[in-house]
Amino acid sequence: MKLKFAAISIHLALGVCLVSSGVQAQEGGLDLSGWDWSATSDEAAAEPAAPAEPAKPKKPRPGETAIPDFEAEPQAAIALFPDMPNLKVIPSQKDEEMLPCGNCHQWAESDPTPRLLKEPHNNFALQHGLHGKGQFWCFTCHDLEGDGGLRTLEGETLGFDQAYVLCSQCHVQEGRDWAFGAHGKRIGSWRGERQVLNCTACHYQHRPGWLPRKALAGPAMRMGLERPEHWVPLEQRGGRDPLPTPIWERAR
Amino acid sequence: MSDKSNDQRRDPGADPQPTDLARRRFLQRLGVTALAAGATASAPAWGGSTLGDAFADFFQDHYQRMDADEVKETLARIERKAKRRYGVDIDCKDTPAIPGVVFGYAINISKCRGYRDCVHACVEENNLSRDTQYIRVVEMHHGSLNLHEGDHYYQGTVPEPGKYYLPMQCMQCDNPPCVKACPVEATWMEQDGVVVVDYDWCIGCRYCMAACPYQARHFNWGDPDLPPGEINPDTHFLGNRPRPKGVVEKCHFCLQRTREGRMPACQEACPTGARIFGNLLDPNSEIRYVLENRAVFRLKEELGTEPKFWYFRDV
Repeated sequence: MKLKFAAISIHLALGVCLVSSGVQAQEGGLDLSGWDWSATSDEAAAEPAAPAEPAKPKKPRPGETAIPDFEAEPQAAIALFPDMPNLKVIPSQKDEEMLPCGNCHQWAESDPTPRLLKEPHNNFALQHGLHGKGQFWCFTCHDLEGDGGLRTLEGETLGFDQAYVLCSQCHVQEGRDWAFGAHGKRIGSWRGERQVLNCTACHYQHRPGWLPRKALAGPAMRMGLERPEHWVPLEQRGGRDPLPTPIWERAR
Repeated sequence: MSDKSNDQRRDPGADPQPTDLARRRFLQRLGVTALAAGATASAPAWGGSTLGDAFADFFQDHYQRMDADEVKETLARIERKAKRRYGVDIDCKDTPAIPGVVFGYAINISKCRGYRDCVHACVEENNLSRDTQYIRVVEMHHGSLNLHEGDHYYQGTVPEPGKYYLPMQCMQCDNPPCVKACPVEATWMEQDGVVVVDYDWCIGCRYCMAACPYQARHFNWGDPDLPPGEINPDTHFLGNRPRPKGVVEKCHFCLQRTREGRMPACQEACPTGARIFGNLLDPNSEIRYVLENRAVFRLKEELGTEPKFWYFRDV
C-alpha cells in the first residue's frame, strides 16, 4: 500500500498498465485525460480479466475519510503528552483506493519545489487551511524520500495510522483534547482500555472541514403546532443582526 | 438515591412484611390455579395471552419488591409475550447496576451538527414506537440559549449558517422532579444514577411528564408502532423491552448496553464525536476530564434538578 514514487521495478508493469487503460504517452508530457482514476492498483489495471475481489461494504461518510477497520488489532498510541492516558487507536482499512497519489507517482517524478498545485493536482480537494495556496503542500506532511508515508516537520517518518502525531503538531489543543478524551470518539466500551478513532477516521485529511448534510427525519409535528404558510424565520423578521459566515462555509 | 436498593430486593430474608408476602403467595397460588382451570381456554380470549400469563400480568408486583424468582418468572413471561405479539425471540434481562458507577453524559455543542443520527439509532436500539423519539435536537440561534426560540422540527441541510444544535434527552437528574411526582412510585433512580420506569407499574397518569422541565418523558398513546422485523432482541426490564399502551417511557442511557460496559446507542451513532459518556465516579474517565477542564453548563440549572447531563463547547 505504500506509495512508491520512484520505483524502477514497476516501470515494466506500467507499460501494460498504460496501454490497457487507454492512456497514451505523448511528447511534451502525459495526457492523463483518459486515465481511470478509480483504478486501485497496477495489478488490477494490468489484468482486467482477473476476477475482482469483492469490495468491502463501505458506509457513506462525509468527505473521503479513512474507514476504520474494527476487526484489526488496535495499536497503542504514541504518547503525545507525558501525563496522557494509554490509548489504543483503531487502524484504518488498508485500501489502495484511499491512495490515488500512487496511481501516478509510482512512475511520475515528484517535483519537490513548494508551489501552488495545478493540473493535474486540482483533482484533489486540497483545502486544508493554507494547503493548496502555495504555503503548505504535499511534502509538508508526506515523505518525499522513502515509502511516501507521513513525515513530521522534524523529519520523523510515521505510518498512516499515526496521523494523530502529525495533526497535533499544529492542532495542539485538539491533540490534547483527543489524548484526554474531550475530542474524537471512543469506540466499544466506556470502561477499561480506551479505544479511540484516529483523526483521519472523521476528518478527510486533505479537506478536514465537514460538509453540510441532510438531516434525518425529525419528530412528528404535534397537532396544532404546524407552521402557518406565512411563517417567516426569526432572523428574517429583523430579530437579530446578520451573523458572520461560519468556518465550514468559508472552507468550501 | 432511592433507599430501596437492589441488594435489599435480592435478599428474600430482608422482606420486613410477612403479611405482604403471604398476600403475594396467595395471589400466586390463585394464578396457578387459574392456569390449571383455564388451560383449555382459547388463546385470543386473553389478548393473545394464556390465562395463566394474563393472571400473572395482573398480579405482577412492583419491580423493587420482587424477589429473584419472581423477577425470573416475569422476564420469561415478557419474552413469551413478545414472541406472541411480534413473533420475535427477545432476550430480556435485568442486569443490576454496577457498583461504583454513576453514569454521566457531556455533549460538545460546537461539534453537534444536527444530523439526527443519534435520534434514529436510539429509536432502533430502544424498540421505540416509530412516532416517538427520546432525543430532541433543538436548532438554536448562535449566541442564544433561549430554548423558546429553538426549533426541533428543522429539516433539510444542516448545519444552517447562524445556528447551533442542542441535543436534549433525559438528563437523569440527581434530584428528579418526575420521581417525586409519581403517585405510585413507578419511577425511581437506580444506584447508577439512571432514572427508570417500571412500565408494568405505571398507571399512565402523566404527572411525571408535567413535572419534567426538559420534556424528556413520552407517553404511549396507542400500541407502539413497532415493525416486527426491526425489534432489537437485546432488552432490559427497566430499559428497552417492548412497552404496553398507555405508559410513560423515557431515555434510560441504554441500560441494556451500558450496564454491560458498552456505549449507549446515541454515542455510537454520533458521526462527529460530540457525545462523551462515562462514569462520573472514575477520576480518569473522559467525562471527568471534560468537567474539570472545560466550561460546562447544564440546562435549567436554576431549577435545582441537578442533571447529570452537561454541555460544553470548543474554545
